[in-house]
Amino acid sequence: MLKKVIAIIKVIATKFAIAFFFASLFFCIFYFVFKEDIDLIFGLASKITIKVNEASDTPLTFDSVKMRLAKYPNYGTVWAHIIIPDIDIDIKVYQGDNLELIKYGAGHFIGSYFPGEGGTVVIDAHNSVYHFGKLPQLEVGAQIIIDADYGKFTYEITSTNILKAEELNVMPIQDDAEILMLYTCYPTSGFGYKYRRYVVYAKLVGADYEK
Amino acid sequence: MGNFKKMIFALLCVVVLGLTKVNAMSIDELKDKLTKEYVINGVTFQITNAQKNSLEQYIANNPGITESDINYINEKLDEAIAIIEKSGATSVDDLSRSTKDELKALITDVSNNTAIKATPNNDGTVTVYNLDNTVFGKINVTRDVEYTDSAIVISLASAIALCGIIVIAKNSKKANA
Repeated sequence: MLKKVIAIIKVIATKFAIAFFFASLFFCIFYFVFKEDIDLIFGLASKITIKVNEASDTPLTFDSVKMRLAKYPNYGTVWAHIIIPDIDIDIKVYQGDNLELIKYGAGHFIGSYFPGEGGTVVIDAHNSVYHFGKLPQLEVGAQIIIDADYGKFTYEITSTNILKAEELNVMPIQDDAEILMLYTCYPTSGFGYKYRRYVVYAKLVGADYEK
Repeated sequence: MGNFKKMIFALLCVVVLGLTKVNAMSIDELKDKLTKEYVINGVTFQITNAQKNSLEQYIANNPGITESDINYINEKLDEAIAIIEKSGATSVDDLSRSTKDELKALITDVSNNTAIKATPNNDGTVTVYNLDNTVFGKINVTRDVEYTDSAIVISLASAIALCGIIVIAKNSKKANA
């Protein structure tokens, strides 16, 4: 009797495993074929269910004497748009870069400087084509614009790199020169955990605090 | 060692972030205190530029904490260092569960007894609040960067598919045997 039960359980488990396998395989193929459409649908859905702050509670102002923001945006607040014309990107920049936030746009790493403050500005985003998935297509010299509440800042790409995740600190946050650092998981396609990061470094070439 | 440094200085930052309602001179003193080197169990620690920058941003956003809170936070900072020294740990792996709990308890203690609110989370982050109870930021204690791959669901699906392949392969072996 027990043997029969075990045999039945084994058969059922095997059927389930096979069903899972084919379902997963189908899902993987479906996702691979329709990746861009799925990203778009999830992107639209996230706009409906978004719970983060879409705008700063109070407008940000820049202290031109201290060369610092007078007050900083709250966590989860949108304080800028990042625009990369060469890859047709225009997405929101949130304060903070944990996974909850970067579902909706790019995230500003807490501890890094803000545009115009003269230090390292670190911004990261997912590697979908609607976020930073097309960063590898950018060439040295391409422009990146950060349109913030308090000013418009234009950067020019100086170099790119592919680093292991734990090597991102190779260029520590510093305040000697204004450098914009963008990164995303790399490679930008394929399955499984991505251990590398595609990094873009850019220098400030224009700042308009008046907008 | 790197993680240990991060943990200690994230803790130092969280605790000392409260020292804000002081005059300009005191803020300078605070910055000196934060940026100086600490030697704990023979290991030298120093705050990073990112942590210093976070502190300055917090101060800019929160101009107002009582002096009694400042004193309380100072006491807890000293306690945190004493706990780590007592443990004899020189890396995060050396810290026992009870030591980690003691350190987390200090953050909770500060939150309960001062206007500075900071709560340790189970995912290795500490949430620091502004005085008006809005979130200032989630400071990641165990890692610096977030995972930016958008295909997490796919990773799960491919893992399930892999399991399916293994099961089928096993069964086919049995059938062939």
